[in-house]
Amino acid sequence: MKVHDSIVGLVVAILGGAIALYSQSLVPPRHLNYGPGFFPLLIGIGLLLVGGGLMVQGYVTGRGQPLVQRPRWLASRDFTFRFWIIPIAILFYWLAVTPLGFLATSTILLAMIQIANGVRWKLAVTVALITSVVVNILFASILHVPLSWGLLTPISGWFIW
Amino acid sequence: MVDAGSILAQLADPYLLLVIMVSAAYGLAIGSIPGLTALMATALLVPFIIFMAPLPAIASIITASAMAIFAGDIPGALLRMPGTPASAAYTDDAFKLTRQGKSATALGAGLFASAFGGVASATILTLAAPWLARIALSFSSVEYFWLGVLGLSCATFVAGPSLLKGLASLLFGLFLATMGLDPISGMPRFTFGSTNLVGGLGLIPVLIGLFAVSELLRNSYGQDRQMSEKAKPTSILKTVVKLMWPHKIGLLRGSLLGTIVGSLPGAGSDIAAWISYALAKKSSKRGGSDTEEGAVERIMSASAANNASLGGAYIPATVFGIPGDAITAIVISVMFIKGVNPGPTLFLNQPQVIYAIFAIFFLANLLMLPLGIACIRAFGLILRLPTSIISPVILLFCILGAFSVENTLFAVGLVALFGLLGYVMEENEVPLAPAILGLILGPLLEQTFMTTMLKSQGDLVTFFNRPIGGTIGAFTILVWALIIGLKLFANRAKTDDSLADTAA
Amino acid sequence: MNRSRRHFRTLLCTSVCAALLAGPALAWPDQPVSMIVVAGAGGGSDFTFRLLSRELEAQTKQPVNVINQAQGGGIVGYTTYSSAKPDGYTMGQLSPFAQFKILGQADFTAESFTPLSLVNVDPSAIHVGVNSALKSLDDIVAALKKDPASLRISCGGTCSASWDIPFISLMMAEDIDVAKINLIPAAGSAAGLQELASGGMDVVLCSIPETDALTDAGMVKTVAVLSSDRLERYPDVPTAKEITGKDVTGGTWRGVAGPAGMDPALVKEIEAQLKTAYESESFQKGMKDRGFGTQYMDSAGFAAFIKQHETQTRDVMTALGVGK
Repeated sequence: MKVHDSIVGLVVAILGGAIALYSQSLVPPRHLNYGPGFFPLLIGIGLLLVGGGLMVQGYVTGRGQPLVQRPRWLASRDFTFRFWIIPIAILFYWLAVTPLGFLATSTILLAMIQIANGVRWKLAVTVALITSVVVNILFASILHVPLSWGLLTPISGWFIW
Repeated sequence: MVDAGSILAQLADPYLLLVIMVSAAYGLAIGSIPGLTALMATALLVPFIIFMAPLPAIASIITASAMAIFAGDIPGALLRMPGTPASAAYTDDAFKLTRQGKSATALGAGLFASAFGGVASATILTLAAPWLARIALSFSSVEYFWLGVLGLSCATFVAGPSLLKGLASLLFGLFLATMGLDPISGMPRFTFGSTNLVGGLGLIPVLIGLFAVSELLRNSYGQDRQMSEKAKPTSILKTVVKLMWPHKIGLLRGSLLGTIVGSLPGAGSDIAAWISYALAKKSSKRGGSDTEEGAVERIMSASAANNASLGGAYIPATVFGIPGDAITAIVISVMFIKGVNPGPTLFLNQPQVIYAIFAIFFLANLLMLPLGIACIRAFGLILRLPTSIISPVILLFCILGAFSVENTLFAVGLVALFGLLGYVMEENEVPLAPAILGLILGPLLEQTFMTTMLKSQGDLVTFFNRPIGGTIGAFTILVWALIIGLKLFANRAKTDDSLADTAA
Repeated sequence: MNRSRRHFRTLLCTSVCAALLAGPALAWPDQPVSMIVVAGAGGGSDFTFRLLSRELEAQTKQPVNVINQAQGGGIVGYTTYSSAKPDGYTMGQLSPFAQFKILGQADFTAESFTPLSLVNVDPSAIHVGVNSALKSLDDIVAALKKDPASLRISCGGTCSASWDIPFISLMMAEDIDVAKINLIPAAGSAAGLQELASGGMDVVLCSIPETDALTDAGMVKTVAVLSSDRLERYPDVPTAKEITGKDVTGGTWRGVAGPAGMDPALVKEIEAQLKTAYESESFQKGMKDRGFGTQYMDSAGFAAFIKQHETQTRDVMTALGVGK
């Protein structure tokens, strides 16, 4: 999603303003000359200045450019879907991994994206399952990354080597 | 007395060699998988080596970390997904070469420079560790502060066409670094009552989100479907041997700079590659150019520095037990646990151990050449699989990589958030690398500034009245003045031109 | 299947263990245990808990997974295990925590945890540069009596924490106006010691083993340790009590705790396992080799101990004028 430079500047300036304002709520707890709000204040002011500069620059050099360009993935429903499936998949992992366990979550996640990308579902599920099992063995069983076992928790002791 | 024969005899132990080979393969594998990082490779090794014999344990962690740091260049060059925060500096250059079908050049340059930097720093380590460590120990918060400010100026070299957008990205990174507990008073900042935010934003999840996930998003709608063919590395040896000699200055400068900056505890490793990159770009005619040669010069200088800084970090680590960065911090703890207590007495009482460690360092960096080539080959083969199957697997590794460094699901959420953010930033030509630099330098800058102010009770003069600190300070201010002055001048000229054009 | 396995285990354990221990035995643990460490991989806490977990694993034949959650000075890790289900399968490291609430960072109190066992205590110590004008604890006390703000004192980590709280307690006992003392936080003890070596600090507070390398290098001198007796490993370092006559001790400590509300029978069970692990030769030897102090307290003793920790921290921080 591309927007006009002036809008980028505006967003940057608003962020800077918000940070600078917030920094004023950070009162030094002890007799410090420079409290916890000092750096955020500097950063906020910096962002305000840079944002202002970008707005001016955008106004001077970017006349005639559209304010907002539609992202290219909006051109096709397939593309839109393939784009959004990625953040959705991560959110799905976030929510599902504790109750379902890594193995199931990862299989669903991999199969879901592959199918969205146009892979035949049988192949997708096979690849997803094999990859998940291998990753689970390598990282949870051997390297002891504390991946969730979900429903398998009570017997997971057998699978951690 | 140290006797070379006895050290070699220690190294000839087949068990030790096996450990080194396995660790090398492990480091290369983890480092080269996009989303998994060198820090993760080192941290996951701890439970295994914590109960091993001292020398194999230390050999294992040294080998794995050196390999993983190099291997992080592979997904950086081929997929634009850097494996260490430092390699974010030269990822764009390397990826551009890959796009032109010259991935062998990009990767070969990175591989040979990494090995060269590693060997060079091991040499310096062997010859001058105690002496250099004393210098490193004379740095106080004032010197570190100025070093951090100098490091910030590197952002302008990776800022791309618009200085303002580069600065916006840098400031944004600095802002992200302030989230969590304030380093001095411990006051929660920008946490909005969330325990997860009290922990701050981890560098690795942000790195993975901004670079790797945003790249997956960009590729999701089909413009880079045929990347795998372009990424197929051709003969590396032939390409690179020719390249080494013309870039010898860049290599040497990178190695030296990497070792020196890397030896400064707490500042080192991540900054070394950035400064080396900036120097290559600014101070040499070759490195400043936009051609293939220029890119190779920059890649070589920066990746030599990246691996040399690892050796540099061992200088204060082995001599005084003071870690240079997150990875060496783990290595030192392992040494302590194994009863190889870092310190000057280690050089006096157990020289055979310390020199065996240095020898392993040499060995690991030499081993990097053949194993690295094999690894690049294998990676190229995997990339020939259809993108529609590879990209979900990469996404899974991004999730796994963020989770296993932080051990929180919050880190997984960060990956999604920063993935989208990185995508929007790139679309609007806001460069990503300065944000990572800001996130690296933010804590250092704030901690050292506040510490200095507490020591001097608020007197700013103290930033200039130490001899080394004052010198670095004056130099830093000069650099910044030059950067801003030159840009303003250039902009003024451009605006005048465009105004003249409109008027005409 | 899971149930029958549990029954089988219970049966097995009651018959075998009961005969051995002559007491009621529950089936803890019959699945892997998570052990949250509130510090990064490879550090002293990590080492202590990996040693302990290895013993637990060997005894119970169930994996004990060490999980590092060091973010926010450990607040993230404490939150994880104190809000877990109190079923004995999520435990964690309990170390000085009272400052978090006082500083407004989190709201843990002694009631947020079920203390299980204390396994380690490391006293704080006072270190100066070898070339410093300060040669002893007396010099430091004298300088601070004259002008409390005259010395730059590194907390060897965050302030209002393990190392500086006992030091401030000592200075309070010496009637020094502690609110004026210039305490400077550092990003860990190594960073504080680096400052000491470069002349940026006058005094660093941290444990003794952390300074071994710099002491050997002839750059750092330890003037006093805040423990009741001299440490076996450092017989030449006097205690603060020997010098000042004030019996003030303190430092850091590490114990195992679970979420609040654990079943007392379960606590007994886990406590017994922890005690066996603590007493094992390899735990004792591993801690000793690394220079870490060992001290055991059972659940009840540990509970009283953390209450006392809360009181001391509150008193000192009130005197310092920190927090609410």
